Amino acid sequence: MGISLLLGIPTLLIFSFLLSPADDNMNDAVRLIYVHVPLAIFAYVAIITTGIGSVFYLWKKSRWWDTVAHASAEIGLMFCGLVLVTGSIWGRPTWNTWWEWGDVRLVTTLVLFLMILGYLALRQVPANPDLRAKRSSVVGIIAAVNIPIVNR
Amino acid sequence: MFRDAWLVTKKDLLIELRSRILINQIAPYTLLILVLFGFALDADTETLRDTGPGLFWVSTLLVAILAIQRSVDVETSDSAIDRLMLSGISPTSIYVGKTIGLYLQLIVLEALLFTVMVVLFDMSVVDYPLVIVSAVVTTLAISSSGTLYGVIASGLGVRETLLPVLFLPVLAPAVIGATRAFGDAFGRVNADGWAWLGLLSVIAIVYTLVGMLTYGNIIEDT
Repeated sequence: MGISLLLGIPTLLIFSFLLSPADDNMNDAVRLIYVHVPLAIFAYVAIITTGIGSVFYLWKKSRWWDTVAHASAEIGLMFCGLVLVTGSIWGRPTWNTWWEWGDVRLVTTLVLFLMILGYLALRQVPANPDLRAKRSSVVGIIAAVNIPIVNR
Repeated sequence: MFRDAWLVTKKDLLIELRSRILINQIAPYTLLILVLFGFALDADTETLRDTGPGLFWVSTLLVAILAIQRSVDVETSDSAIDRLMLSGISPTSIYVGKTIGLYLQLIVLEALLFTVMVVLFDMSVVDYPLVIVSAVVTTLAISSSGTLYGVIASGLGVRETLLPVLFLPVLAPAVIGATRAFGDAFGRVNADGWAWLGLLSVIAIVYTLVGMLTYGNIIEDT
């Protein structure tokens, strides 16, 4: 998997930023879509992994699943943030604005970002690890079930 | 389960009737928010009519945070929750009971807020059934998630700051839907408000189910 990543990422970057032509309407801004969409997919996968880890923690009471959920949430937050940043950069030349409140998916992605931020805020609270893990698991499950709502 | 849940609801409502926190403190806060919005938007009536639906639901969420904290305080003070658990009532029944109690209190506050908004912002309702149905469904989403998050944020020493950070993003999709529905009901936007009820219903049902399944795990440690 590491080798395919090492080969795949440069290939993606070369094809998207150098070899693919500009779009008739979006011009060179279209190149961001080649990065923006995979970032969104990774963000969703990470948050769904947090949800799965949370469910399994509540079921199995295994600290390993809690660690998986926590780690995935941090990755999901980073990728979600990058989705918003690349989306804004794409939106500036396309919509002539950094942010478009009328785009529901954009707004709900921001909401998802804030949910994960809240999850990680709960993770930072000094408390008994098991108590914190249980409560974080519930918050993680709710963040994950919001994915289909965000993606509507 | 519903009989036990109703016992919990009756307890909460009885405590509220005797303490009158809702009437004496939370209701005036509700009105104050609306008035402040009027000042902040420079009291232009047309702007207030356009933004009224959104301001209504933002005010409701801010008020809901207080109501949720109050609902949690009732259980955490003097270890009342331990006695409730020892009484044999299942955690799911406790969750449903507290959700219904919070729901009824929020409906009363929303009715007050709605009346004041219609008067102060000079608004007129075009579709009353849409207003009622969207308020009923959205309030269920708020109360079901609020009951759960209130307990999640309790007992950690940071409830006042953690509850809004956890609770408000979760309700944002509901606020979007409810604002669109209200906007259509007041004739202020060209949107199909009834179509947004599907999203609101899904949110309310999902949060209620998650709450019923996970509440027991949380209150064990409260």
